[in-house]
Amino acid sequence: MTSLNPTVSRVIGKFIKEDWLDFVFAHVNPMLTLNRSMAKVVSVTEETSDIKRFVLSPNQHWASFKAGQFVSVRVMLDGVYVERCYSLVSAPNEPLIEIAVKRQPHGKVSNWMHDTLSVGDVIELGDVGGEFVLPAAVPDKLLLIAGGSGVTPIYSLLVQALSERVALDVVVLYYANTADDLAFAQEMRELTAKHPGLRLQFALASDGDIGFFSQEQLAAACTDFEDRTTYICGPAGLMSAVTSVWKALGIEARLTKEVFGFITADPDASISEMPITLQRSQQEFINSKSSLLESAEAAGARPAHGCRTGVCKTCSCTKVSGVVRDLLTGAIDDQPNTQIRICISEPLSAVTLDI
Amino acid sequence: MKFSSKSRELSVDEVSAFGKELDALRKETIGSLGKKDADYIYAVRNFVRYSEIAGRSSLMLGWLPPFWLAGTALLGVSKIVENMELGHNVIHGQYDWMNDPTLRGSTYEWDHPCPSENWRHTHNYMHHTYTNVRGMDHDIGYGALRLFPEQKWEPRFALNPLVAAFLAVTFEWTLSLQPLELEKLISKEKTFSQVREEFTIIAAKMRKQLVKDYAFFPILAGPMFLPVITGNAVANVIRNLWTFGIIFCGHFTDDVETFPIEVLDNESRGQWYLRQLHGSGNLDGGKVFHLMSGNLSHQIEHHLFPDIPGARYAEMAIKVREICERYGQHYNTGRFTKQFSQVVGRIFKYALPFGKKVESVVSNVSPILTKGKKRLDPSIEKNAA
Repeated sequence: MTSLNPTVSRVIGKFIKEDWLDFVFAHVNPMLTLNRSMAKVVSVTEETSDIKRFVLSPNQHWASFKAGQFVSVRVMLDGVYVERCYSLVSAPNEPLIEIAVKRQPHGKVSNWMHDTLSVGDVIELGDVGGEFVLPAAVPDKLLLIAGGSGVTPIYSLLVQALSERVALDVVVLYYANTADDLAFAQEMRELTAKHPGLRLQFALASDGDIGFFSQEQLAAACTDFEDRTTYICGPAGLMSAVTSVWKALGIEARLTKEVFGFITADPDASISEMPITLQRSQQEFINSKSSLLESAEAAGARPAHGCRTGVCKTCSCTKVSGVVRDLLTGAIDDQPNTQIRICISEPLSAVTLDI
Repeated sequence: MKFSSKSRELSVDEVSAFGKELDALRKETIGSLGKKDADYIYAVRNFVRYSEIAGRSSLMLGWLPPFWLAGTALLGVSKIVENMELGHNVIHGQYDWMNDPTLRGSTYEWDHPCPSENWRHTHNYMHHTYTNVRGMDHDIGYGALRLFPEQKWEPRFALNPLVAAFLAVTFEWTLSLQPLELEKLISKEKTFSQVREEFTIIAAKMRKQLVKDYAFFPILAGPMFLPVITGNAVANVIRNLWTFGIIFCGHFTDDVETFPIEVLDNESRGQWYLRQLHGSGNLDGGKVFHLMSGNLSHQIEHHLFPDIPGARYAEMAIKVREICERYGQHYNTGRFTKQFSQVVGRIFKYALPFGKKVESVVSNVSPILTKGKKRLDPSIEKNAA
């Protein structure tokens, strides 16, 4: 598997379609591609009852990542390519990469990965993304808060931080339902042996009140939380409760949140029933779902899409006119001819898209 | 006077109900798209690739006549399937639902001198939206032929049969020039510099096609230069003749109707469906024939549902036909020999200044339109003023 020189691939690409070459290469080895990142499953282990860990061996197109980031996995299910993002839990720059996948109740991809994907299979990887990373210089005192499967990027940050500063003062506060639901618990316990500055606090819902977040519970578990640079990843309820405490104390600047993977459309939120026009495909419909992408799909249109969470930009298109709100940041865009990601945009007026 | 439409006139309500039934069929089919359709199009694409590899390899041994014949035939078939069942249908966005960037309508580039970008405009947009509307749908005679009595006769149309034969042999090249609307040079609606500018993008794609079939592969073949270059040329001509035949049967058979531009005013969904139905004709045949025609043998279904995978048209046709029967709408279909002989008939007949004095050619779409138009009648406006 030799890596092609970028200039050579560009010259070849001018005359031959990439998918044609990949088709030919695939007869030799499915891992051999011109540009696409492919990865072979090396091992699959069950971490908890609903989280599986997949160790993957990527081909030469795999680029590096930072601890705390995620990668999108692209699979074909029932004739449709779908992409989902999963946290990378292996240390950066290792030859093998590892992702942790939680089985979502109606998740197409996570269920397929849990039930069907096995050792030796080859899957396609998309982009690496995420802003949930450590700063260039690891802070002196760290607090990492994890809730449920939100532990995956937290675990990565912890390993990375400790590898940079062996004697770092770091507290991990991990909320889960029961002891059986704790993922990466064994690894973290082993880390405490090597790093005296690391303190683990598991808060289990099965233990009653002390297993649930409150300012008192927090203060009891970590007395100096106000002085610590804090990272949190967990369900929406935990995130908003933590945010309001940090806000009330005026230390919100010290809190870094990972919202990815936990954005869920609020079923009670009112849907703005705005007329949407898809200019090129000549379709008109009334917005019926929380995002423009979902509404368009409900109306029978099939816009290009990838991760559906605002990461990969596959669904980026020109908004010719209209006002939209970014579901992630709440930012309002009322300018004509701007690029928007329709999977995370909600219309606030009639909108025309160049699709 | 009514146009000799074989279809019953429909009331406003019937037109709307007709449209709703077709919309329902569309929705039902889109909802059922899945693995089977994806597997099918990948199989078609693999067939195109394997047959091209086999065809071109066989031509490399082209000094042996059987290899030359087999190679040329395979390459011809490969190019036909690539253009019709794969390229044309993919560019329509029929497989966009698969979310596979290599089969995306907005970016797919086919093995044809016409740049996909141009095709998306003249074919997907102009021809499919304004099907058989005179003055809007350039596919009515491609600006080069007179095929309907409603087209004004000009002396140049006396050469209709010759021009048609020339188009058939050179179809890929002449079709690529279609967006230039060269006939407008004669009528002085366009200038040479305009044409030259629009030709740039076409020239680039033409060059690419020429280099591939007439330089790269023949040179690669070394001593087999001649068999390869002739094989490629013949394969391209086979593809041209076949696509010409299939495409001309789609809209130029006897029962096909054309429409005045006024039909577009306030045209409803149901009326749009009716116009597509009356402007298209099908070809009967078996599975291989449908594949080789890129399912344009189901031209009616293709025009009703241009973005639904062509492989689904056969099963949809049964329902479309049943709906048309219930509404008394003529369903234009026949064997290739019958339909193509009608096309040839038109090519010869309308080379001569045969015309037809027509007051209303709109047939069954007219009642609603005339009602709508009355309100806009200038004389009434004048009276009101």
